[in-house]
Amino acid sequence: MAENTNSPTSIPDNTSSPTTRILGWVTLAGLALLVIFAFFVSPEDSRQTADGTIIGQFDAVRLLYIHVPSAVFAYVSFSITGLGSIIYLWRRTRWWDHVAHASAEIGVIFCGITLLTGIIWGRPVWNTWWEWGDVRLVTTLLLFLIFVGYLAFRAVPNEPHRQARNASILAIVGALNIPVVNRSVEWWENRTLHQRSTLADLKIEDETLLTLMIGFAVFALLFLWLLVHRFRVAWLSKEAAEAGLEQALAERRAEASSSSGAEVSGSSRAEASSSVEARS
Amino acid sequence: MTHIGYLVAGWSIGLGVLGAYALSILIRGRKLSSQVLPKRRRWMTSDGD
Repeated sequence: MAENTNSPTSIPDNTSSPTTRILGWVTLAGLALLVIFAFFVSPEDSRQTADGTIIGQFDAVRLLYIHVPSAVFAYVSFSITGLGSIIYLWRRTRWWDHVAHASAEIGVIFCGITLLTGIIWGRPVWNTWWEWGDVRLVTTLLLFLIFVGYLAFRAVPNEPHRQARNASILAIVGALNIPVVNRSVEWWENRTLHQRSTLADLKIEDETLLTLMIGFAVFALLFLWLLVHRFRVAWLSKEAAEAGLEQALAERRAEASSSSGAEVSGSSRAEASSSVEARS
Repeated sequence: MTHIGYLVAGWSIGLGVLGAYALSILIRGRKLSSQVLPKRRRWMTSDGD
């Protein structure tokens, strides 16, 4: 973001900048810290019942330190896509369309990780990989598929502003699903294996809470890094397409002028030969 | 440690997907940058919208 606007030639031929490089290294360090806390600092989840039986998620709880931050930042990504789409429809600036597009792609990645890590976590804890009757699982899958559809729609070549307008409408409809996914465990309490929010009810504490907070902080940095770079890719993609179009137009004009010049010289030769024939 | 296979699978897939995606963005950016004039490579230095 901190580019030298006075010296465009100093802009590198990639999407990095000094700020994003620092952000990238801090994010990598944060991910390493998260792994250390998730595997070596935070305790396993176990507690003793009144009859002496030990229950809990045991070490499977360590999967939640990647699953929950992914889920939260999938919501954040799709919310930004929805917001960017609303502002695009209002202001019609490509900048917001690029933000919406970039954020949707990152959201699909986070949401995919949420689904995969959730499936893997569910097997040892719930004794099932997937449960079609669980509203949280099904609405999350629906959210994922809507935004996969959004990205597929954007990949089809079309007039840029028409495509952006239609994609924005699709994104807003998709973003309306976010509160449904988030609140589903409260609204349909009897139709989900998921528990209610343990964070909101303050049911976790100490190293478990600290590790989860580190996870949120690291995923926030990661999201920011990905968003800046992905936005720059979207911007470059637009600029490259426009440069290609300008070049194609210039070539077409050059072709047209050279062929019209050839036609003029061809007709001059025909006139000259007919006048020679008339004189003879 | 219990459930070690699930832990390794979950974390490997999660971090692997994130790493691969980050790398793909950097590669895409590098390829596209070479096709664009320096002054138009960034929104902040471009005269676009």
